[in-house]
Amino acid sequence: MSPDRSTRRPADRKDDYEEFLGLFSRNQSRVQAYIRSLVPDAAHADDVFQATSLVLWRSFATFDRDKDFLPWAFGVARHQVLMFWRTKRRDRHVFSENLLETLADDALARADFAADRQRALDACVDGLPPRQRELVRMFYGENQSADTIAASWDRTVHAVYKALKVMRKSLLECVERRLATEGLLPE
Amino acid sequence: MNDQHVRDQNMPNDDQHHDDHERLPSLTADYLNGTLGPAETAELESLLTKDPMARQVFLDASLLHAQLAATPVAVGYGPIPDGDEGCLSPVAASFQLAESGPEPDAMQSCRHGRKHNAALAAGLLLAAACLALILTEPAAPRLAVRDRLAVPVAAPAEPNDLHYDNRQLPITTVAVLHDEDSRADAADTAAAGRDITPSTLESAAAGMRLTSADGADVRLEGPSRFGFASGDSGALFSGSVRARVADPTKTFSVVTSNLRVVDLGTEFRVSHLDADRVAVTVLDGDVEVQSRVRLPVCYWPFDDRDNDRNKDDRVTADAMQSMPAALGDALQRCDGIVGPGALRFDNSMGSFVRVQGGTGEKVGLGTLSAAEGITVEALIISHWTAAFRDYDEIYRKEDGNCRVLLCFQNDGDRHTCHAEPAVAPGPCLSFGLHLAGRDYKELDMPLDGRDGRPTVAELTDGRPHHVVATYDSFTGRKAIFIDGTLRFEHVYPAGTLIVSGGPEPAFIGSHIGHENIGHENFNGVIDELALYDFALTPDEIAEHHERARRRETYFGPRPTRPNAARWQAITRITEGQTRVFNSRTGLAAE
Repeated sequence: MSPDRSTRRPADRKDDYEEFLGLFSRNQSRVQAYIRSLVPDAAHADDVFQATSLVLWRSFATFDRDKDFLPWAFGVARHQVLMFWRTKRRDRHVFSENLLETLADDALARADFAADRQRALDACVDGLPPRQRELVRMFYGENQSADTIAASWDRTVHAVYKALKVMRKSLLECVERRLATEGLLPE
Repeated sequence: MNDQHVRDQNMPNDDQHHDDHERLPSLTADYLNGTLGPAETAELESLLTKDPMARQVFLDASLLHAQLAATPVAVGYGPIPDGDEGCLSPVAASFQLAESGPEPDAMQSCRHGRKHNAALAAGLLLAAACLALILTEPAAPRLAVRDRLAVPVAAPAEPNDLHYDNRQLPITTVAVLHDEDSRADAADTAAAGRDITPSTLESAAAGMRLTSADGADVRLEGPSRFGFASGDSGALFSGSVRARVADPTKTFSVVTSNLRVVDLGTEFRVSHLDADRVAVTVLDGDVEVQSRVRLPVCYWPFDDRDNDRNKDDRVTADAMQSMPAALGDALQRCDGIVGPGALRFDNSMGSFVRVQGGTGEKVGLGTLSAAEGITVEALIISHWTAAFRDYDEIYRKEDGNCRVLLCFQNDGDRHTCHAEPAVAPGPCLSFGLHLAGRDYKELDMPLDGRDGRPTVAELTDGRPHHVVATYDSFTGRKAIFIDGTLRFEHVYPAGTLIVSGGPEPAFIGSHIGHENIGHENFNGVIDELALYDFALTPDEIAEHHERARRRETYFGPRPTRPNAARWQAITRITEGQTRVFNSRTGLAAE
């Protein structure tokens, strides 16, 4: 008979670290998506994700094993996102604290649909013309800046931004169509 | 005032709502692009604050923006364009339908389908299984999707000349070098100097003046050699450097081997007194002196999941900062050489480990970039065939020609331009780096049994071997150690920096390069792979080997928690003080 998980002190368990890694690995893509949906810049989102990861590990001993890992991780990520924007408010124009908190909560409420949307998006991206797939790879996969892509494509930066806008718009429509077909759109 | 009137005051009227509806997507798109100005930001905030539906639209667009980075195409596992743009996969067809209107059946009769009907049927079965897995396990690593679909190939992939990605990727700018007669005005840097990428600078008696990318005023005093490795730090190889940081939110640090001096809003000087000793003088404010933490940046022991295939999430995490890595479908977990687990590679395209993270926007950036030194360390059991043009990778990060690799090679007289020193054609263990000012070069250790070097037979005898490759910019020494002993080396001028890092992912046991070229999969077992941003010393390597022989981790107790710290504080020095330290030991030398 295995010991009652709730009565074991986390710090005493030899497999604490492995357990964390298992939970973290399974959920990290959803936490990353949540963070980046609230922090659009890839480099800044990576910083916030890194900070979130460390806080999750450092607080893992206090995590109630009888509860789901993901809501807890989202809560930590939410806090880190809001902390990030607080530090950024000093040197750039950002949304108000109230709006950011509202957005962070709204995004949490919609997180359950993230997996369906990712699956639909994968299929939609798969159907993009080669040029747009290249744009996805360069801008989102390799984190190349619009400036760099513009230089390599011999286009203006404005043209690259416009291409991103058009591509995202068509992808959003495609995702909505696919989810509607499957009856998976949220109320 | 009736209820309707109250509602009308609080709710946007139809025209207003229409305008908002038109405006919201455009503002959101600019926000995601990072091109939104202050006025537009305020406008977008107003829209989002008053309308929950607007927030929903905004968040859907933001989530799509976030999830694009995780699509198979973004991470390099999307379909490879084959020139037949009209041929789409069945899943892709549904997207195109709404755009152009062809019938699904017509779209599915693509060239791929005709050529591979049997494979398609098998693939659909696999896809159905994968879809079920994704639906029940939505957080499974996205990278695994294609891997699960990939059919393992028993024979080594056919190599070709495209395995080297020779693109010159953009390199990060680290500083502005000022003309000798330029004004000493940090605010005027853009006009006064020229940008420099990671490189080593040598000043004459008159010195040299630079501004770091983060705004620090850096002066080389007299004849000095200084490696500008990043926008907020550099390595002093000889002479003296003085740095002043005006912006309290920025820092600048000077590294001398195992010592780092970090400003705390200050002006300071670091000077070499002799080969081992450096003097640190604080001219204004405080500095913190730190010593290097001699642990890996990343370390994958492959022990997670207790080697239980039934619990295998097809992902493993490094023990230093929890950086995950996706496992290819053909990769098998097996008993560890050290610890409970290791990975068995079968030489097929599906046997690989793809590191998820550590990249940067440009060369020179990212956790897995190294400038002042590097070590790649692993325990291997190799079944390399050593056949002509059979390549077995241990570790590779292919950022264009700024790659880092450690692999078995036998490519005859091909790529001999990379070998430094030049060696006779034949099987070798190759350690490749791009060195600033010298291009990409490989230390190709011939596996010929001469001068203490091992033979192919010795390294493929079915027993574990400890393989370590190091480069140290402070000595210029590039070396390969086998089983704790130095076997081959080449020495470059001291102060030659590595140029590495960037947007491409790192692979363990494989090379899947830009646009899926490569596939140089390992044949055998890899365990305890560790990456360091400095060169281990020969004594440390011998010690690591001894510990591995005793089935212990390289550096004593296994890390019990992530630890990303690279430096630890020794002391703080205040204004007016000068302290002397040993740059090799990191200890006070007074």
